[in-house]
Amino acid sequence: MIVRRLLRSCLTSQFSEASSISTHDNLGEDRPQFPGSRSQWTEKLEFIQPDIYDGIPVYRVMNTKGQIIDQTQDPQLPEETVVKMYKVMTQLNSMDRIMYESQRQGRISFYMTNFGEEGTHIGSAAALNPKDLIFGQYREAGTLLWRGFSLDQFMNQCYGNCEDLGKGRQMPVHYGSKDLNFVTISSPLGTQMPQDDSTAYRSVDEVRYWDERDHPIARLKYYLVSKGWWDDAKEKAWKEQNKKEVLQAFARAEKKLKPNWTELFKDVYHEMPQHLR
Amino acid sequence: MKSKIMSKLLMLKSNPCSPMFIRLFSKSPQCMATHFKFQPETAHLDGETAKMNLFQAVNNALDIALAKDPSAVVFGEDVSFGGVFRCTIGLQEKYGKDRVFNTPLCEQGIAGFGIGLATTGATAIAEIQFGDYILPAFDQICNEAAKFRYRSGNLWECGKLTIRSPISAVGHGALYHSQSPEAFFSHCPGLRIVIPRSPIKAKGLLLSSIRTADPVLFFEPKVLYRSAVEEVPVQDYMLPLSKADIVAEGDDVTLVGWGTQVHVLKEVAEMAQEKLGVKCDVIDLVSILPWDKDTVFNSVKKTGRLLIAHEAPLTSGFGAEVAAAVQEACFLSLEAPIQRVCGFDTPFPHVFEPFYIPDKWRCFDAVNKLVRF
Repeated sequence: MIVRRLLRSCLTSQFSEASSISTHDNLGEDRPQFPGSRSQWTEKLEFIQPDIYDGIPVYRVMNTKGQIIDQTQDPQLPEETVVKMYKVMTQLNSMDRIMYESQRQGRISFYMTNFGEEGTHIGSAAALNPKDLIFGQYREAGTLLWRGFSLDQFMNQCYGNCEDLGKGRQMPVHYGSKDLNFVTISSPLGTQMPQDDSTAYRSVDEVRYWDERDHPIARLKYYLVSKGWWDDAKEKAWKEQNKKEVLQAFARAEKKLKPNWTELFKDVYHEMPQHLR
Repeated sequence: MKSKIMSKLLMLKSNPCSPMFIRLFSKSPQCMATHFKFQPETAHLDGETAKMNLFQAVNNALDIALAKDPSAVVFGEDVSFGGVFRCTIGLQEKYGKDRVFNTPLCEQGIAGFGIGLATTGATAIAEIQFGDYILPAFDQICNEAAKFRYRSGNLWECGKLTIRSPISAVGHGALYHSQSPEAFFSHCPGLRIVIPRSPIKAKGLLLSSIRTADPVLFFEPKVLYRSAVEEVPVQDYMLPLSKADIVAEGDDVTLVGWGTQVHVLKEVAEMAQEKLGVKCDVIDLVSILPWDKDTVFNSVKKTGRLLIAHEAPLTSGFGAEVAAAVQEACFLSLEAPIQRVCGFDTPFPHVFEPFYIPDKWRCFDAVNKLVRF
């Protein structure tokens, strides 16, 4: 249909007496006729700057003070669930701070923090069925923590010790768990240096704004406090317990031995081929 | 290169067996015919057979796999109507759109999707339309599929993935429809690479590849799709992976190749017998990764002379790996330097294809060098 229209308009303009170029086809539509397109014509040859378009709106339920803006969007989660969410988010944050320090001290070779993404990890994991397979990239530790991966299991993988489920094969943060339906993480691009974290792509001011005004942990805490489900005393106790547990798991993992050297050659194939024996 | 051809022309009188002599003065019209002669074999299996060419044998294997494994799916560009080489003809009608379906034009996506699918436990049979197009999927195949089991400490794996793709020269394919990419992937532990030489081999090897617990790259020599016809057993049968075949026997020279090249080498062995009185072991490697070193080593220890031939370019082609391994394991048995007759170190050309490929004349010339050393 469209092709016939185009052909018709081409032919009429070819044979018309006036040699003027018409921008209208026979049906008077002044738009490019690309199937599925709602584009416009322009006679200006210039690059489009990003600021002339408004972005796609960003969905939110809470404001920066943890208040539900539209009550119909409140998921009405029970206290137990939301408190668990808060605890897992803060536990992740705590683990991140300690593990990042340990990487700086050279005790582990590599670490990726999850700062600022605690909400997305825990929120996504909480919405999924425990049987759903998760294919994470390497800032997804919160989903594992939600599902019940222990601090010991995290640390064992970071140290690549004899109890690492991954058998010491990969760098830290490349977690995986068959029981928790979390497919082992890879680094498909493989060039991330320990120093290359998200702060490389954000200005200092932007990071500070997020930390002070928009942090998911802070926003959730405001919500919890407003519901009477959390307070300063609980916060203090939880912070201490958290830190203690993480440090203890850390110390345990550091002491364990590395896996047997024969693990270097196993699991390349289902059955070890002759040339590796 | 030019000076090589000139010096060969000058040597014509003294060496009537030289490839240039035979090519220029032979009466047969080389340019239109294929550079090889497919010789059908018989399957060593009891039971009914049917006349099938390579694409029909592949189609038959896929049919059996889909029939017997309810989790099996076949996908790739244009597979629904039957595929550009007809390998998937009739499958969507028989098994439905849920199990046989087209993908977008995205090799990286085809591989990535296949890996994810295989990880969940479904049998994923992907097709990359031409081996020349497999490179966008390289990261997925080598960094993900190959390493899945190893990196997860055997918690996860994608062994149920098989990627099929047509490869090698077809007479007019030029740069992007003629490549043999096996060497690139041979460098990646965790993959299996299988290349059939015939319909009988293709069906059995494809069924084994689909069912093996490792991800497999199954490369089909496209020039054989129609031209290779055999009586193929109709039953479900599997052939061993990682085992090379000795397709001709002799004590004087070892010839190693795979895919289309096996048929060239078979003819070279006949020429060597006729013109030089020399008998050759002709070995089809069958599997490039892991490769059957023992069969090759045993042969070279017997003959002392080795020729490896492949269409892929010489430098770092798989022949280099075979040559390095053989010289290390069989050094004292060697009577002459190992010869490699391969594609030249250029992209695969269009009109110059007859000069580019390691045809029987170039291979025969190399055999001559081996016996006269």
